[in-house]
Amino acid sequence: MEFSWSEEQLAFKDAIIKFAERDLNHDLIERDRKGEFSWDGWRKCAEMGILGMPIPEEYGGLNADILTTILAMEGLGYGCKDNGLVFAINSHMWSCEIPILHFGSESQKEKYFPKLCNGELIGGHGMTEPVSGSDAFSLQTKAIKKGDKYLLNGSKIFITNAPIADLMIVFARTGESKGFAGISAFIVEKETPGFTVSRDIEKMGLRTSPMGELAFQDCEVSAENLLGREGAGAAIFNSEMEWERSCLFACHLGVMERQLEDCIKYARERHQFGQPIGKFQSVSNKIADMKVRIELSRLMLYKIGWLKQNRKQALLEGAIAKLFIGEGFVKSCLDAVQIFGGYGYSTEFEIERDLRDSVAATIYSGTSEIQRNIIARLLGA
Amino acid sequence: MEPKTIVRQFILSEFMAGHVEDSFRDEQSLIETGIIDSLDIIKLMAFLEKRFRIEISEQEAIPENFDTLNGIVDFVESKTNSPEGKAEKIHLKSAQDDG
Repeated sequence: MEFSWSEEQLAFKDAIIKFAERDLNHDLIERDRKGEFSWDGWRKCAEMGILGMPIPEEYGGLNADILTTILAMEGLGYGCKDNGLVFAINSHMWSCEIPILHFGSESQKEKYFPKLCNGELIGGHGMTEPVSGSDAFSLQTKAIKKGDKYLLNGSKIFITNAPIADLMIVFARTGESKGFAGISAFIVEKETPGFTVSRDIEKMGLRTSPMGELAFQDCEVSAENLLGREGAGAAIFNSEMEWERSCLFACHLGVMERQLEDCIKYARERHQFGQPIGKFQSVSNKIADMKVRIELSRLMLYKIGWLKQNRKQALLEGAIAKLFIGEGFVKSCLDAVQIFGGYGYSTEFEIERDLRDSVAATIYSGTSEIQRNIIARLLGA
Repeated sequence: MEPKTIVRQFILSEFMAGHVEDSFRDEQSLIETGIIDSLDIIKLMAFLEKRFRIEISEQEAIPENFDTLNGIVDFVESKTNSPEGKAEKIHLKSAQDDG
């Protein structure tokens, strides 16, 4: 197994870190307080090529392979303290671009990719419904075919990017088949009659990432906007989850790396009882635990990248990584707050925000409990 | 062993442990009867890829390819009878002859 990176890959990661530190962290305390999305940051990320990283060049992307993408997303998480912006970018890439890349028609790719890559269009996806969360495939939104159109009726909740998105990948039931088999995916543009975004949902963390609800009332979607074939919804959803569980969580790894460096620096500088606090085992043990989480997270993520690069399944590994990194992220954020003490708890030091932002990592992309179920099921339990 | 027998045995051992029924018909819908779900399809794909030396894309992970035993076998045979599949068979045979 090869663990080294090329100079080009490392230079790309470094460039993203420098860019993010320079351009993406302005006025963050205030924007977090107000729950304000950074349009400026979004545009700059588009100019940097981040939004179209895995998309082929002919559609306006960078055509980066998955390992390079994981490394770059790690750099983005390290450099960008605006976890909400990073989350919005990830939703755009893995839950909108990737499904179109893997399941879309040529005309869909030509129509949407150039503007998704240059940031003119913002994407997201609509899966979760008021009564179907972890049991995602029990969704109730219906799409009835009428001639060359589908008529969508239903609603979606907790949808990242909903208030700012131009198009959504919407999952709906097209057939009478049970569970996952009757689900299809549609590309729904925001101007489509019968489609409304009903409210902006306020949250504990990731406050700079807008979240809302979608409503479909006799929403007419052209049959051309069916993504893949009828009944392919579950395959599309599982595919995008594999990407999200590796690339989004690479950003969390980046945050954990930055946090650890800050904690080590603080543990050296801060003196209590006549010595640096890092000399106390109760502090240094936390630092050691943070490092262990980072190294193990990194190994899992790179393994997934390698598997996917070699066109192998990574469902088990994706579930392990999602579970471990999601929970490890929260633990490391708590450790950081504890090491910084009162300063960590105060908003000014920007440590507490990471903790608030981290909590959802055990919920989105499938809760920790669901990941454990997937792991056990794949092991034959 | 015939592909149909191999696939049937895998489904019985992997997905039907604890089910009330201990068998299923060749044309029975495995999805409608709750024998397999979306996660099982992924597991089944991994098994088919390894056992029959085929490559299944995520675009092919759709219910119609995995709903019945006959459907699964037809799908596998369509892959093994494709030009890529035939080349693989020849490669395997020559490797066996050499061995």
